[in-house]
Amino acid sequence: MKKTLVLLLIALLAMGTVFAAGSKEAAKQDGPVTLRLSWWGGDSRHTPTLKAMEAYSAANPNVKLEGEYGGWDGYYQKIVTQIAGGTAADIIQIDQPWLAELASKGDVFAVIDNSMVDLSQFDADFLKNYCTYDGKLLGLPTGTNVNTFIVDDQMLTSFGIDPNTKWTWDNIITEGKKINQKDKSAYFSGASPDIMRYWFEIYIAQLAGAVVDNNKKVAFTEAQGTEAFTYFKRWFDEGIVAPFSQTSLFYQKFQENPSWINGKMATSWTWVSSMDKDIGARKMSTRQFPVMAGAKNTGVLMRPSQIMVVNSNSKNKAEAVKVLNYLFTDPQALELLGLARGIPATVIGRSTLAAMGAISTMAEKATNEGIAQAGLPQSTYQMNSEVIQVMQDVIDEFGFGKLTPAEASAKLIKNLNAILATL
Amino acid sequence: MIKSKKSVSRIISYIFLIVLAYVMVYPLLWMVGASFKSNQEIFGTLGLLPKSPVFGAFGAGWTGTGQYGFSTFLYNTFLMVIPTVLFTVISATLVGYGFARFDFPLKKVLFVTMLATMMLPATVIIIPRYIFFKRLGWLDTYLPFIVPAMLGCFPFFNFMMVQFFRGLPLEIDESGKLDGCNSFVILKDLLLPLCKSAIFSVIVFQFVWTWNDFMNVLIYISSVAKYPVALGLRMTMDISTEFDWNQIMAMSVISILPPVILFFAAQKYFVEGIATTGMKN
Amino acid sequence: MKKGNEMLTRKRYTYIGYLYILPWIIGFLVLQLAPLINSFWYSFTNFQLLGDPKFLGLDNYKKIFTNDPTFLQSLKVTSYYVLIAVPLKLGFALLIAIILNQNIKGINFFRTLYYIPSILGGSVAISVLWKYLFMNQGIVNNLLSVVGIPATDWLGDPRYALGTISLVTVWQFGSSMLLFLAGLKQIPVSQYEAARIDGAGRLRIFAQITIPELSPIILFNLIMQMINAFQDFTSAFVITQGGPLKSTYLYGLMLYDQGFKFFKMGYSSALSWILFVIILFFTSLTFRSSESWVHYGDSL
Repeated sequence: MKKTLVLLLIALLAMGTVFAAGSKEAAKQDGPVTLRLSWWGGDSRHTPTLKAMEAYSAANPNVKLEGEYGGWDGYYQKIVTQIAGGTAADIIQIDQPWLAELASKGDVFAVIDNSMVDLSQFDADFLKNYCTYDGKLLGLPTGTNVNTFIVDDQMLTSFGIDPNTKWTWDNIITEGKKINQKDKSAYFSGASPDIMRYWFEIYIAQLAGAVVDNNKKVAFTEAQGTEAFTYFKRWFDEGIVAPFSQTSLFYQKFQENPSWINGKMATSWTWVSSMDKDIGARKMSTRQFPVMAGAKNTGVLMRPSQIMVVNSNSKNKAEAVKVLNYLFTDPQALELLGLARGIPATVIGRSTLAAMGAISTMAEKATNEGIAQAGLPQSTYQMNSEVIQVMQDVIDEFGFGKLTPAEASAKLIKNLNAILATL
Repeated sequence: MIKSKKSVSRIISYIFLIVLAYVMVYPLLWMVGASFKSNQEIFGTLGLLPKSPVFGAFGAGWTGTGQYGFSTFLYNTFLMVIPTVLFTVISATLVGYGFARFDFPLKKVLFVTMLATMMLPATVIIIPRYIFFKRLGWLDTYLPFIVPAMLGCFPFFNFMMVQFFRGLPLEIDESGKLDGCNSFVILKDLLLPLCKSAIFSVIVFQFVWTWNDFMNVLIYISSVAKYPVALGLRMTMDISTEFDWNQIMAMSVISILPPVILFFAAQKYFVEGIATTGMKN
Repeated sequence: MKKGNEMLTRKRYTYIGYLYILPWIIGFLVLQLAPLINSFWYSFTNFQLLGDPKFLGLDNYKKIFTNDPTFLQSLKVTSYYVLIAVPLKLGFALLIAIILNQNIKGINFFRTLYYIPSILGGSVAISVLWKYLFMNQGIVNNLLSVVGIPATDWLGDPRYALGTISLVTVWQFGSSMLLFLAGLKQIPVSQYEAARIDGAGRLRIFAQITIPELSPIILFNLIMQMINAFQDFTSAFVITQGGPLKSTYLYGLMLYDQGFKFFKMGYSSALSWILFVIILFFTSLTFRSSESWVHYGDSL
């Protein structure tokens, strides 16, 4: 027994030393301020961002900027963990849907106002619709990102379809089916199940205004849902889109589907920001989306490419906002950053890049046409990750032929109501 | 007659082993091939060999275009992996020996507790552990990997060593005791030499697992200067902007070389079993 | 002799054992216990990662058992996965280990090649490759068409996807194989020789010497593979993301989604503790059964 006691004592002592060693937190140094910035991206984003940060530090020697950057994989989880642990960077790049998702859980992001950043540089509605939560502006949009419809002119022509067709819901089917009729392995649309969800959301938006409205209510009727599913059933039946058993593998990565890469699929819904990646080595151009007569809403989405936020736990919030201001409005920074985060959302940003001739005509055209066609912003409830999952699950079952249009509509409404009740 | 039967079965064995080897190594061959392909070719074709080879992926991937090159990430990985492996071997041997060869009060309870710590999915422990390591001031260091190794917090290896020790006859310990050795000497001089292959397995497994660990390093390491290869590899992979897959493939190939070399080089310890070390009766 | 052993080591407590397991005891108390307790507490709350958790009593558990179809689906998928992947992987690993344990030329070479998949692990390249192997126009279908088997969506068809994912697991049999090899090397040659002198055939030697002598390692591999398989989700995460139609939605994937996608850490914790109990149950069962088939050198 005595020995056990001695051993326990040793164990406790050892525990104590470990804790003591750990509790020696790094002493706060005075003088220069260190700010951490975190973002995800590729090299085309890392390098310009680091250069702009360097330039800021050169002009403000008392401020040291540290970049914490990496790929997309796991970025969200890391940010969430850091926020939960109170260790997030001072300035954080987030995806637009995360803003509401994170802000609804607590006081996470610092409020930004006109005294800190010249907000007149931004489109006021854009800030209000996409960067505001609970009436407070919590972040700044890096760029404007819109939906676009990319088409392979050559492929369409070779199947006897006029590439300049103005697309309607009807002629997508009447014209589009020519492709699969001639070549069983080719399709009009490259949509994977997730892209089919976007198409469904667009269709419902035009029929009923939204899937879920700002009052946390399902905004479409069962009849409207059935109508939408009935329409998309024709996409499967008439070979407009490949069966889910072939495309589900490329969930969220339709551009990695060999059929897409090898020119066996003619068109796709996409975001302008990822257009280049999707097109790859193909030759494609952009078109506007079909809009039905009497549409309540086009359903075409416009949102910030990303949002930059300041951590509300930051010890140097004021300094962090200054850095933000620099990155968003300083001509030097804008020149260095270029298109690292898409076409800038600020007036000065666009004019700087236009003067440099940096904006490609295709991106410019797609953006302008998208903005012109853009519909109402989606409610934060419709962008909620659980709501999206519910929609996706029903669309998967429908696409795999497990549900008829009427069943799919009923199930979707039932499941949406169930999840909305818990939000 | 018997001889020819034997050689036939031997030939069949060889054919099987070679076919299997091809299946096993195919992904690696494909990765090497992909290092010389353009994105379109990687995703658009099925062939192993590049049709229109693209060179320079290895060079470009190695230098990187950010602040730090791949050599930094490799160096960091060694910094993290070597102490972790070393301490795991020591702690697993001690703990395994303790559980395998001694009886003490609560032994069963403790053993079950040790195994039970593996049964709760890591997902829900990530946040509490993160906050805990933060309080200790260990974030952005390799301590969250090294200290658990020191303190035997990899029950897999403890349990593994228990099983190997228990596979050894008690007579070995007895003879040591008769010679007047204490329990540590018995472990060090009599049992360990018989467990070389087990120790080697601990080294290889822990090396490979720590080397490949993505989730934990992602969470604990935030300075790019301290990134290990698992993070460095994915550093340019973005969801929307285009990146060169061939660079990712090239660096993937390079990053698996150290574990493969370690494995190949240390294999002789495998061939030596109890048979060659010799057991005195 | 038999009695003597038991006298020496079984009946008398030797407290020095504590000294050897001390590192783990400290590690458990200092590093592991607190997070475990934390997650247990979270399982009774609505913890959402941010903000203070609110105590819900048994609500999470009630919801899981009465009102969560995904839970049942995941449990089903995971059970199939464990049942397919674990025996196949272990059987294969044992077979290869036995083949490699013979005196074969180039054995080092083969061993290294067979271990490569385990080194590649969840590498980014692998997720891409598996899709290309098993997609509709993929390599596997190309090969099968030679023998006249029609193209199948190995990963896109809900009937086959889980089986294909399990193949990835089986393919990474290297670690289990290595342990079997290490175990085989521990079997004293003298035993084989004695059996051979007695005129025992290959099969009898295998059944009466190899398997019993290897049984501690078989037990270890079985338990570890089972514990891992219940929680594993890497392959499903990177290759199918749980689809198609949730046919590969493994339990670990559901935990991840609940915790890090939907922020329901409290709910996710409750799900985890249920899995904990399931794993504990099957592990104890295996241990219980092991008393009749595992043969330890120290209990000769």
